[in-house]
Amino acid sequence: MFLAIDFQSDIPIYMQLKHQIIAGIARGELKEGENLPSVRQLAQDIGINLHTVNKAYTLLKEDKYILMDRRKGAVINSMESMADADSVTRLREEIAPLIAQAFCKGMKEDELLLEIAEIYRSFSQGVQR
Amino acid sequence: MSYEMLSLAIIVLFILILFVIKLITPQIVRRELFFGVRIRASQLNDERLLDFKNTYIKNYLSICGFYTLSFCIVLIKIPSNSVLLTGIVVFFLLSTLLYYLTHRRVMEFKKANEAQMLNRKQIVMVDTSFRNDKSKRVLPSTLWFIIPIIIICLNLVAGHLVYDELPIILPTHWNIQGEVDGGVFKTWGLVFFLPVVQIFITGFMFLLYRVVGWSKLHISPVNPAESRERNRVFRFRWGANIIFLNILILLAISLLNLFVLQIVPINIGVLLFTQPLLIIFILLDILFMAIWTGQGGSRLFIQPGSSDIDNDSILDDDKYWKGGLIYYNPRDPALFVEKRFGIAWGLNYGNAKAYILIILAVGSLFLLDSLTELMLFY
Repeated sequence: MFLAIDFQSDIPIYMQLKHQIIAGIARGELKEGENLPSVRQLAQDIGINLHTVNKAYTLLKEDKYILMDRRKGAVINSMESMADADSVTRLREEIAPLIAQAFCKGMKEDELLLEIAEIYRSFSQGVQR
Repeated sequence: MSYEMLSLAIIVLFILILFVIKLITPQIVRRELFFGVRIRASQLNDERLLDFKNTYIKNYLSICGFYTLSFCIVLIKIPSNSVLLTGIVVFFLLSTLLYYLTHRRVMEFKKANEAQMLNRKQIVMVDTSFRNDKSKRVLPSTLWFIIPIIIICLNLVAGHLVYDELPIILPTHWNIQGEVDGGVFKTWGLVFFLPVVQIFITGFMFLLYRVVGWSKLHISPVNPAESRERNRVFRFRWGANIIFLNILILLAISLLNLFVLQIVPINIGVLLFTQPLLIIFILLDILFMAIWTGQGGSRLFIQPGSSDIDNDSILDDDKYWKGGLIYYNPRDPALFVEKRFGIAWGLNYGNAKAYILIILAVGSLFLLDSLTELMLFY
């Protein structure tokens, strides 16, 4: 799967990495059991500090998107294992400011739902769950 | 034809090949890296760029061509090592200067057309499966190195088997007529000397092979899938070529070894030319690889995938390329990078490891040298 890291963006690079890898899993481009490059290799290919990649991998691991296997390195986790109890609470926290923005910009509820549905469908096409 | 004339002919051929390699370099590099300057896809077809290239080739052919010819003539008149060495150094300086003048003109061209490029994205693209895609390998299998190992083992076994039958003094030096005029006492060191050289060379080639796999990825956001495939084939072919050259060099040394061990009688004249001919062959091989594949696979025919010119927002890393030739980026952990204007890979001189590597390489040469002394004379 291709990762496109923007050095000019306001979003820190470790966040870009994290977001794109999660999106890759959602689109089905990164499949369960698939290997990610080693921290060193990915840092060299992008041309960034090892700690940046390490930070992204650690966050992904904490959220159970990937597993750190001692022999195989970073591996994509299974979708079943990714689900956890407090994910809805955290989603609420993270999505609330975005909905507030949409509200202030005058977006109607059904317009917002339409947008969300479209993005959701773009992911669910690649993955059966 | 005498030995001197033939060796002079080989040296002249060597110089001519160097001349051709430098001549074709602008044709084999990545299109978007024009004379060491990163140019946007939308500007690549600008006629001024074509002008720069044509002027460069004209200048190179007239100035470097004239120099190379006179160098060859002087060398034939005064064949000495110092003339050869000085001549080659001057050739490199001259051709680099011609390159640099064009590089500066391209830099100015870019600066003049940069206004609309402010605030654009600076994207680096990578592929997470580039190195672990089993069906489309980046390098030929490591198992191929079994062949060099078998060759080395055969040489070692041969030395062991014939040791007792060899005379006490072995011939090691011959005059121009092919008569023995020097020899050394038979020792185990002498018998195993050439296999040890083979081991050193194979170790070095194996490292090069690994470097081809490790080196920094370089994918264009305009057409990532196509760019990735070019990258892959480029590496695969060079990896295969390294293994091929390794086997070839080992076979040439084996020929010498069989002669030293007096297993096969070989005409001494044939042996004397093995090494220079091998060097010529390796140069021709590199030339062929460069034309066949191009830097980053730029000369490959790959089924074009979807491409998006508007997405041309690759990171502008010109400032880390000194003169477009030397990569110096202390913030990049990568050690090996594809050369912008040249063939194959180079080092990131902003990385302390690059200097450790250079010291290690020089150190291992010294090690081989002192090992030679130890094995041959004690």
